[in-house]
Amino acid sequence: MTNSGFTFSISTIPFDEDYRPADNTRITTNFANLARGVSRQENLRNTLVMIDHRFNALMHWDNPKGDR
Amino acid sequence: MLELEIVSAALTLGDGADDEAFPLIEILHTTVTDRISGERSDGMIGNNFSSYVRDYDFSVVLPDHLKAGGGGAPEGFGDLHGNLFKHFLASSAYRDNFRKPPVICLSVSSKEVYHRTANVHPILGVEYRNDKFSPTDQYFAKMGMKVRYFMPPHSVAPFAFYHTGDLVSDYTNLELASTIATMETFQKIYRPEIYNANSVAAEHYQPSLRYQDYSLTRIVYDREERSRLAVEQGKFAEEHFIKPHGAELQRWSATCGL
Repeated sequence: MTNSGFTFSISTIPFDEDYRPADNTRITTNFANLARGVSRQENLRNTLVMIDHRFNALMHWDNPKGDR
Repeated sequence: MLELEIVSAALTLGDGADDEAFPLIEILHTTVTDRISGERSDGMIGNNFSSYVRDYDFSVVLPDHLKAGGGGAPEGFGDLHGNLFKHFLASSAYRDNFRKPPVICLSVSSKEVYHRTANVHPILGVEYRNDKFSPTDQYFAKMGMKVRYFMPPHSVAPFAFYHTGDLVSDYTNLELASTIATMETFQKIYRPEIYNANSVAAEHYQPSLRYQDYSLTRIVYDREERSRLAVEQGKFAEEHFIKPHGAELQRWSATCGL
Protein backbone atom coordinates (compact mmCIF):
# COMPACT_ATOMS: atom_id res chain seq x y z
CA MET A 1 0.00 0.00 0.00
CA THR A 2 1.26 3.49 -0.78
CA ASN A 3 0.53 6.66 1.11
CA SER A 4 -0.39 8.55 -2.00
CA GLY A 5 -4.06 8.42 -1.13
CA PHE A 6 -3.53 10.33 2.11
CA THR A 7 -3.75 13.79 0.61
CA PHE A 8 -4.35 17.01 2.52
CA SER A 9 -6.08 20.04 1.10
CA ILE A 10 -6.40 23.43 2.74
CA SER A 11 -9.20 25.96 2.67
CA THR A 12 -9.35 29.27 4.47
CA ILE A 13 -12.02 31.73 5.53
CA PRO A 14 -11.50 35.12 7.17
CA PHE A 15 -12.40 35.39 10.85
CA ASP A 16 -13.83 38.90 10.73
CA GLU A 17 -17.03 40.76 11.55
CA ASP A 18 -18.85 38.93 8.77
CA TYR A 19 -17.77 35.46 9.85
CA ARG A 20 -20.60 32.92 9.97
CA PRO A 21 -19.73 29.40 11.06
CA ALA A 22 -20.52 26.87 8.35
CA ASP A 23 -22.29 23.68 9.30
CA ASN A 24 -19.38 21.49 8.33
CA THR A 25 -16.65 23.46 10.06
CA ARG A 26 -14.83 22.18 13.10
CA ILE A 27 -13.70 25.40 14.73
CA THR A 28 -16.65 25.26 17.12
CA THR A 29 -14.84 24.71 20.40
CA ASN A 30 -13.25 28.13 20.41
CA PHE A 31 -15.08 30.36 18.03
CA ALA A 32 -18.35 29.36 16.51
CA ASN A 33 -20.63 29.88 19.47
CA LEU A 34 -19.70 33.52 19.86
CA ALA A 35 -20.51 34.00 16.17
CA ARG A 36 -24.13 32.90 16.52
CA GLY A 37 -27.31 34.51 17.73
CA VAL A 38 -28.36 38.10 18.18
CA SER A 39 -24.98 39.29 19.52
CA ARG A 40 -23.06 37.74 16.64
CA GLN A 41 -21.66 40.86 15.01
CA GLU A 42 -21.11 42.74 18.24
CA ASN A 43 -19.31 39.72 19.71
CA LEU A 44 -17.07 39.44 16.69
CA ARG A 45 -16.33 43.15 16.72
CA ASN A 46 -15.53 43.17 20.44
CA THR A 47 -13.33 40.11 20.07
CA LEU A 48 -11.36 41.60 17.20
CA VAL A 49 -10.93 44.89 19.09
CA MET A 50 -9.63 42.99 22.13
CA ILE A 51 -7.13 41.14 19.95
CA ASP A 52 -5.98 44.36 18.25
CA HIS A 53 -5.51 46.27 21.53
CA ARG A 54 -3.63 43.39 23.13
CA PHE A 55 -1.36 43.09 20.11
CA ASN A 56 -0.55 46.82 20.19
CA ALA A 57 0.11 46.65 23.94
CA LEU A 58 2.67 43.89 23.40
CA MET A 59 4.30 45.67 20.44
CA HIS A 60 4.54 48.96 22.34
CA TRP A 61 7.83 50.42 21.09
CA ASP A 62 7.58 53.24 18.50
CA ASN A 63 3.85 52.93 19.11
CA PRO A 64 2.97 55.76 21.54
CA LYS A 65 -0.78 55.61 20.95
CA GLY A 66 -1.00 51.82 20.69
CA ASP A 67 -2.77 52.06 17.37
CA ARG A 68 -0.40 50.62 14.77
CA MET B 1 -3.50 45.54 13.06
CA LEU B 2 -4.10 41.85 13.18
CA GLU B 3 -6.14 39.84 10.70
CA LEU B 4 -7.21 36.28 11.29
CA GLU B 5 -8.19 33.47 9.01
CA ILE B 6 -9.44 30.02 9.86
CA VAL B 7 -7.44 27.32 8.10
CA SER B 8 -9.21 24.00 7.58
CA ALA B 9 -7.21 20.94 6.61
CA ALA B 10 -9.17 18.13 4.99
CA LEU B 11 -7.83 14.66 4.33
CA THR B 12 -8.74 12.56 1.31
CA LEU B 13 -7.99 8.89 1.84
CA GLY B 14 -8.55 7.34 -1.57
CA ASP B 15 -7.22 8.24 -4.99
CA GLY B 16 -10.56 8.46 -6.73
CA ALA B 17 -12.45 11.63 -7.44
CA ASP B 18 -15.47 10.38 -5.50
CA ASP B 19 -13.51 10.03 -2.25
CA GLU B 20 -14.79 12.48 0.25
CA ALA B 21 -12.38 14.83 2.03
CA PHE B 22 -12.79 14.64 5.81
CA PRO B 23 -12.23 17.94 7.71
CA LEU B 24 -9.54 16.79 10.10
CA ILE B 25 -7.94 19.87 11.64
CA GLU B 26 -8.62 23.57 12.01
CA ILE B 27 -6.01 26.12 13.02
CA LEU B 28 -5.67 29.89 12.77
CA HIS B 29 -3.38 32.06 10.72
CA THR B 30 -2.56 35.67 11.65
CA THR B 31 -1.43 38.46 9.35
CA VAL B 32 -0.11 41.75 10.68
CA THR B 33 -0.52 45.08 8.93
CA ASP B 34 1.28 48.18 10.18
CA ARG B 35 -1.30 50.99 10.04
CA ILE B 36 1.49 53.55 9.68
CA SER B 37 3.61 52.07 6.91
CA GLY B 38 0.95 49.82 5.36
CA GLU B 39 3.45 46.98 5.46
CA ARG B 40 1.92 43.49 5.73
CA SER B 41 3.73 40.67 7.51
CA ASP B 42 2.95 37.03 7.87
CA GLY B 43 2.06 36.27 11.48
CA MET B 44 1.70 32.93 13.23
CA ILE B 45 0.19 29.70 12.00
CA GLY B 46 -1.43 27.44 14.59
CA ASN B 47 -2.59 29.45 17.60
CA ASN B 48 -5.75 27.49 18.23
CA PHE B 49 -6.00 23.78 17.52
CA SER B 50 -9.21 21.91 16.75
CA SER B 51 -9.12 18.31 15.69
CA TYR B 52 -11.87 15.77 15.14
CA VAL B 53 -9.61 12.81 15.86
CA ARG B 54 -8.42 14.39 19.11
CA ASP B 55 -12.05 14.81 20.16
CA TYR B 56 -12.64 11.18 19.24
CA ASP B 57 -9.61 10.11 21.29
CA PHE B 58 -10.57 12.09 24.38
CA SER B 59 -14.38 11.81 24.20
CA VAL B 60 -14.77 8.24 22.94
CA VAL B 61 -11.57 6.16 23.22
CA LEU B 62 -10.36 7.31 26.63
CA PRO B 63 -13.75 7.18 28.45
CA ASP B 64 -14.42 3.70 26.98
CA HIS B 65 -11.01 2.55 28.20
CA LEU B 66 -11.62 3.89 31.70
CA LYS B 67 -15.13 2.43 31.78
CA ALA B 68 -13.68 -0.97 30.95
CA GLY B 69 -11.49 -0.68 34.04
CA GLY B 70 -8.26 0.31 32.31
CA GLY B 71 -5.86 2.75 33.97
CA GLY B 72 -3.96 5.58 32.28
CA ALA B 73 -4.36 5.66 28.51
CA PRO B 74 -4.83 2.68 26.18
CA GLU B 75 -1.80 1.38 24.32
CA GLY B 76 -1.03 3.41 21.22
CA PHE B 77 -3.26 6.28 22.40
CA GLY B 78 -2.68 9.29 20.17
CA ASP B 79 -0.48 7.44 17.65
CA LEU B 80 -2.86 7.81 14.70
CA HIS B 81 -3.62 11.44 15.56
CA GLY B 82 0.07 12.25 15.93
CA ASN B 83 0.94 10.63 12.62
CA LEU B 84 -1.87 12.40 10.79
CA PHE B 85 -0.70 15.73 12.22
CA LYS B 86 2.94 15.13 11.24
CA HIS B 87 1.80 14.04 7.80
CA PHE B 88 -0.11 17.33 7.52
CA LEU B 89 2.97 19.41 8.44
CA ALA B 90 5.03 17.50 5.87
CA SER B 91 2.36 17.81 3.16
CA SER B 92 2.73 20.07 0.15
CA ALA B 93 -0.58 21.68 1.13
CA TYR B 94 1.02 22.90 4.36
CA ARG B 95 4.43 23.76 2.95
CA ASP B 96 3.02 25.65 -0.01
CA ASN B 97 0.98 27.88 2.30
CA PHE B 98 3.04 28.37 5.45
CA ARG B 99 6.69 29.26 5.96
CA LYS B 100 7.12 27.99 9.50
CA PRO B 101 5.93 25.15 11.70
CA PRO B 102 2.91 25.94 13.89
CA VAL B 103 2.81 27.16 17.47
CA ILE B 104 -0.28 26.10 19.40
CA CYS B 105 -1.13 28.20 22.42
CA LEU B 106 -3.34 26.49 25.01
CA SER B 107 -4.65 27.07 28.50
CA VAL B 108 -2.61 25.66 31.35
CA SER B 109 -4.12 22.66 33.13
CA SER B 110 -6.01 22.84 36.41
CA LYS B 111 -4.48 19.50 37.36
CA GLU B 112 -0.93 20.88 37.48
CA VAL B 113 1.13 23.30 39.56
CA TYR B 114 3.37 25.69 37.64
CA HIS B 115 6.47 27.27 39.15
CA ARG B 116 7.72 30.72 38.18
CA THR B 117 11.33 30.90 37.00
CA ALA B 118 13.78 33.80 36.67
CA ASN B 119 13.73 33.57 32.87
CA VAL B 120 11.96 36.51 31.19
CA HIS B 121 11.38 37.08 27.47
CA PRO B 122 10.29 40.57 26.29
CA ILE B 123 7.14 39.29 24.56
CA LEU B 124 6.51 35.81 25.96
CA GLY B 125 7.11 37.11 29.47
CA VAL B 126 7.98 35.14 32.60
CA GLU B 127 8.68 31.49 32.08
CA TYR B 128 6.91 28.97 34.30
CA ARG B 129 8.05 25.42 34.75
CA ASN B 130 6.17 22.19 35.29
CA ASP B 131 8.36 19.12 35.46
CA LYS B 132 5.56 16.61 35.21
CA PHE B 133 4.93 15.11 31.80
CA SER B 134 1.14 15.40 31.56
CA PRO B 135 -1.20 13.32 29.35
CA THR B 136 -1.62 16.42 27.15
CA ASP B 137 2.18 16.71 26.84
CA GLN B 138 2.31 13.04 25.90
CA TYR B 139 -0.41 13.54 23.30
CA PHE B 140 1.35 16.54 21.76
CA ALA B 141 4.69 14.72 21.87
CA LYS B 142 3.14 12.21 19.46
CA MET B 143 2.44 15.17 17.17
CA GLY B 144 6.14 16.08 17.34
CA MET B 145 5.55 19.00 19.71
CA LYS B 146 7.01 19.99 23.06
CA VAL B 147 5.85 22.61 25.51
CA ARG B 148 7.07 25.72 27.35
CA TYR B 149 4.98 27.88 29.67
CA PHE B 150 5.13 31.67 29.68
CA MET B 151 3.10 34.44 31.28
CA PRO B 152 3.31 37.46 28.93
CA PRO B 153 3.51 41.05 30.23
CA HIS B 154 0.12 42.11 31.72
CA SER B 155 -1.31 38.60 31.47
CA VAL B 156 -2.57 37.08 34.70
CA ALA B 157 -1.78 33.42 34.03
CA PRO B 158 0.78 31.48 32.02
CA PHE B 159 -0.02 29.86 28.66
CA ALA B 160 1.21 26.56 27.28
CA PHE B 161 3.07 27.04 23.99
CA TYR B 162 3.36 23.81 22.02
CA HIS B 163 6.01 24.02 19.30
CA THR B 164 8.26 21.80 17.20
CA GLY B 165 11.63 23.55 17.22
CA ASP B 166 13.00 26.41 19.34
CA LEU B 167 10.09 28.59 20.45
CA VAL B 168 12.23 31.64 21.22
CA SER B 169 14.64 31.72 18.30
CA ASP B 170 12.42 30.33 15.54
CA TYR B 171 9.81 33.11 15.75
CA THR B 172 9.93 36.91 15.65
CA ASN B 173 8.46 39.15 18.36
CA LEU B 174 5.71 40.09 15.94
CA GLU B 175 4.76 36.46 15.36
CA LEU B 176 4.81 35.64 19.06
CA ALA B 177 2.80 38.76 19.94
CA SER B 178 0.19 37.84 17.35
CA THR B 179 -0.41 34.42 18.89
CA ILE B 180 -0.55 35.83 22.43
CA ALA B 181 -2.99 38.61 21.47
CA THR B 182 -5.24 36.15 19.68
CA MET B 183 -5.26 33.30 22.14
CA GLU B 184 -5.33 35.42 25.29
CA THR B 185 -8.46 37.10 23.94
CA PHE B 186 -10.19 33.77 23.32
CA GLN B 187 -9.10 32.48 26.74
CA LYS B 188 -10.38 35.64 28.47
CA ILE B 189 -13.72 34.98 26.78
CA TYR B 190 -13.91 31.24 27.34
CA ARG B 191 -11.83 30.69 30.49
CA PRO B 192 -12.26 33.94 32.42
CA GLU B 193 -11.68 32.16 35.77
CA ILE B 194 -8.06 31.69 34.71
CA TYR B 195 -7.23 34.34 32.10
CA ASN B 196 -9.48 37.18 33.20
CA ALA B 197 -8.78 36.76 36.91
CA ASN B 198 -8.57 39.98 38.90
CA SER B 199 -5.10 39.23 40.22
CA VAL B 200 -1.94 37.78 38.77
CA ALA B 201 -0.75 34.17 39.12
CA ALA B 202 1.39 33.43 42.18
CA GLU B 203 4.90 31.98 42.15
CA HIS B 204 3.56 28.46 42.56
CA TYR B 205 0.40 28.53 40.51
CA GLN B 206 -2.39 26.01 40.15
CA PRO B 207 -5.12 27.28 37.84
CA SER B 208 -8.74 26.56 38.72
CA LEU B 209 -11.97 26.84 36.76
CA ARG B 210 -13.77 27.17 40.11
CA TYR B 211 -11.89 30.36 40.96
CA GLN B 212 -14.43 33.13 41.58
CA ASP B 213 -12.36 36.33 41.62
CA TYR B 214 -12.56 37.18 37.91
CA SER B 215 -14.27 39.53 35.46
CA LEU B 216 -16.37 38.69 32.42
CA THR B 217 -15.71 40.11 28.97
CA ARG B 218 -18.51 41.71 26.98
CA ILE B 219 -18.81 38.68 24.71
CA VAL B 220 -22.07 36.77 25.20
CA TYR B 221 -22.22 33.06 24.35
CA ASP B 222 -23.59 29.70 25.41
CA ARG B 223 -21.06 28.24 27.83
CA GLU B 224 -22.66 24.84 28.07
CA GLU B 225 -22.43 24.28 24.34
CA ARG B 226 -18.67 23.87 24.42
CA SER B 227 -18.50 20.79 26.58
CA ARG B 228 -21.24 19.09 24.54
CA LEU B 229 -19.46 19.78 21.29
CA ALA B 230 -16.29 17.83 22.01
CA VAL B 231 -18.42 14.73 22.60
CA GLU B 232 -20.60 15.33 19.54
CA GLN B 233 -17.62 15.88 17.32
CA GLY B 234 -15.77 12.91 18.75
CA LYS B 235 -18.77 10.75 17.86
CA PHE B 236 -19.00 12.33 14.42
CA ALA B 237 -15.36 11.44 13.79
CA GLU B 238 -16.00 7.91 14.97
CA GLU B 239 -18.97 7.44 12.61
CA HIS B 240 -17.63 9.17 9.54
CA PHE B 241 -13.87 8.68 9.71
CA ILE B 242 -12.69 6.03 12.15
CA LYS B 243 -15.35 3.34 11.61
CA PRO B 244 -15.45 3.42 7.79
CA HIS B 245 -11.65 3.66 7.45
CA GLY B 246 -10.34 2.08 10.67
CA ALA B 247 -8.33 -0.76 9.17
CA GLU B 248 -6.83 1.43 6.46
CA LEU B 249 -5.92 4.12 9.01
CA GLN B 250 -4.27 1.64 11.36
CA ARG B 251 -2.27 0.12 8.51
CA TRP B 252 -1.18 3.55 7.32
CA SER B 253 -0.27 4.72 10.83
CA ALA B 254 1.85 1.63 11.47
CA THR B 255 3.78 1.94 8.20
CA CYS B 256 3.87 5.65 7.35
CA GLY B 257 7.35 5.97 8.86
CA LEU B 258 6.87 9.47 10.27
